[in-house]
Amino acid sequence: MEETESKAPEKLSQSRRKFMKIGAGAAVGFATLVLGIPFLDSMISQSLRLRTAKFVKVGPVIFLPPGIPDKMFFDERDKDAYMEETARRDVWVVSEDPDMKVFSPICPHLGCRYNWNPRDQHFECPCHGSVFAKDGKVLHGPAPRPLDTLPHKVQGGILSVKWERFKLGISKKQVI
Amino acid sequence: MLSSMNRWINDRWPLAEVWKLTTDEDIAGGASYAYVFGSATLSLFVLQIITGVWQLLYYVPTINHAYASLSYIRLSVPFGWLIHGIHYWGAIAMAILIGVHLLRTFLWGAYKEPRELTWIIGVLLLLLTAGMIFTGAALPWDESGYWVTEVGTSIAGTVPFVGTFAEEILRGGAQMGQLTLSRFFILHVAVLPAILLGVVALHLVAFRRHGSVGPWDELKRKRTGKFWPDQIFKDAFVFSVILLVLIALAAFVVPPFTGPADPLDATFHPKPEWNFLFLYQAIKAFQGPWEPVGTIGIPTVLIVLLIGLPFFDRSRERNPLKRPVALTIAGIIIAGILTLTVTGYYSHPGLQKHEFKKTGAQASVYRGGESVKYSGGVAAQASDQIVPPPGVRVIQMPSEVGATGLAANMVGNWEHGKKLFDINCVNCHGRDGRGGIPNPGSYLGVVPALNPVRSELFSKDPSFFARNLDRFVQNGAQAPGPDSAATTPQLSMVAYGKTQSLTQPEIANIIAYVMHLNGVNRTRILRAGVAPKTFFFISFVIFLALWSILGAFRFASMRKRARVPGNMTKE
Repeated sequence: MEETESKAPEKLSQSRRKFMKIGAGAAVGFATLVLGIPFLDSMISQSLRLRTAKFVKVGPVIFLPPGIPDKMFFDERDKDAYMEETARRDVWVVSEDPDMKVFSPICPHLGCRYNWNPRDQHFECPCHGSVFAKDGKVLHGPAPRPLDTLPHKVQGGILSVKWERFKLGISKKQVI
Repeated sequence: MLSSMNRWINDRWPLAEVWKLTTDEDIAGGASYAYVFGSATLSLFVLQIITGVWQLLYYVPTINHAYASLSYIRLSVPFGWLIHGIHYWGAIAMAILIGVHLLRTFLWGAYKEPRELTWIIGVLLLLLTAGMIFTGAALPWDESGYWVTEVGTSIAGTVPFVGTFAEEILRGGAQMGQLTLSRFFILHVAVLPAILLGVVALHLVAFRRHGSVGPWDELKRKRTGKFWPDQIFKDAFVFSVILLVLIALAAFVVPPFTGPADPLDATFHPKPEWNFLFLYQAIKAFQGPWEPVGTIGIPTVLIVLLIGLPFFDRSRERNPLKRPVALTIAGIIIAGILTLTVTGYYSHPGLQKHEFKKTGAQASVYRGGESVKYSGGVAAQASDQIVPPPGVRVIQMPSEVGATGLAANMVGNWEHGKKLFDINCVNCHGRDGRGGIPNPGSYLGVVPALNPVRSELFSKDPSFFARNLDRFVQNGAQAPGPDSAATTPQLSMVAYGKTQSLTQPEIANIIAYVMHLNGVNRTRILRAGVAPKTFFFISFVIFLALWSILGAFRFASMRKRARVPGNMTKE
């Protein structure tokens, strides 16, 4: 009687221990699952939300010197998390009758802001030395694609632009 | 008393055992100054944590206040210059020491069996430290930090498949903004340090398990030394030297104030810190479709080489002279990195050589139907001095006296300000702000000079002076003149801040330049605690006194022992 009693709990505790090990693992797994997914999602989805660009008025085209790239500024309501504020944007406009090109001021290489070099008549990026022609073509340097053009329209002499951002460092122009 | 307290504690907590476990170890070949780099790195890491936490007493991680709060620490908090300076230079010193530690470990062949994991954990620590340097650079939200972060996260974005995802998670969205700063902040002060502490513990456990590798020469290995106190003494001495060097750097080589971050700026030439320069230079070499080779390929290859080293090189030979292949490859890689770093340091792409001039519509901003054309380029005509009636004020005042903008509290960078001044202000205020540009129709007849500035505006206190100037730049100013339409002053100053024709960071830089023209340094320390140079001098004296007293004692006891016969063998 005593022997069976002492043996039975031993046997029981063997399987119970196995159960307890699995149970402990399961509890950790449960916590990881019910907390992990929401936590990850709060970090990720917030970052991946898409913003939709709208046409915003930039200014009268009459100010533009023909054939010379010109930087124009405009203001747009921008929402960064809980902060809504007026964001200043800038675009490079090249007005060559009848054509007009509006370039995003962001170098398609790695996101610096490039400049117009009036002496050598090309755009240059100060960061890694990419050089672009007036029409946006890469002349030399590491840039993988021409300058990004932005959708634009001219109505009643007023230029409007859709402020878009593109994925950097790849040869394809891809809106983000 | 002490021993009974010791016993009381040890009955309850294994203090003696833990002490023995952590410090009681024989070092083959004896203690050496060659082995100090690991512990020097660890001491520096602790110092970084302390100086980092201290800065958090003042630092605010928002895009509008990060730069101003850091400037406040550096200029207005007693010993803030020291705390920030040690943190800044300590990060650089830590990177160097890790490099030396890694090289030492390589030369001694200390990565070989059974220390492979110690080595791999060490490489992990190197990568985590690089992560700390990268995330830390963003926190001041200054020009260099902002643009280095912009480029750095963009590089992450070029990784195939997961790149965009990684970039947007790092930034908290598609563009840089408040969420980027928040994320870099939490990575830098919580996530990465916590991981680092854990991995440091792993590294130390592995180190304690197998001990120092010692000399490769079997004869030299016969002599042994103790980790405590032989090696720890050397470690501590070296650390005190490093600390003195850091204090000297904080006092004499002030980290730059690059000016507040300006996302619209295209005149700044961002370059990474020296420790990432070789990658920066490599990026420029690989163009078009080869781009990922520079941005991702090279770092990946280096990391794989480092992690895989104990498995590529399995021979047990540790003498560097008998490992020609390993040493040659390492030599080539180090030479390559050094060459790229030096060429990267001296390279000046872009518009550095000649001046960039904004053109035409640059100065016009369009806002909901009305366009504002600024008076910058109006041609001035020869003016006749108009004599003001007695008692009428002739000097210009800000259009609205009260309001200063955010720029008043931002410490600008005067060199950057000079570029902006030459674009925006020089037409009216003259080259170097010397004035003399005619303003017909005003009592003064000319635009007021800024160099020297009117005495009521001048102040030796940089923050006060900055506020005085800021009122003008934010609100604009009207030149007084006789009130008749025919002789209205031709030139008036635009409210650059209010109309947003200059951003607040730009205004801060211009103010710093005008102050510089008047002989006031915008980055002057207002409350130092103890003046930096004096503080270094005091530290240096204490350092010398301490080590010369200790040295004298050592010398005396050695002579005493030498006089007692039979005691010589112990030394």
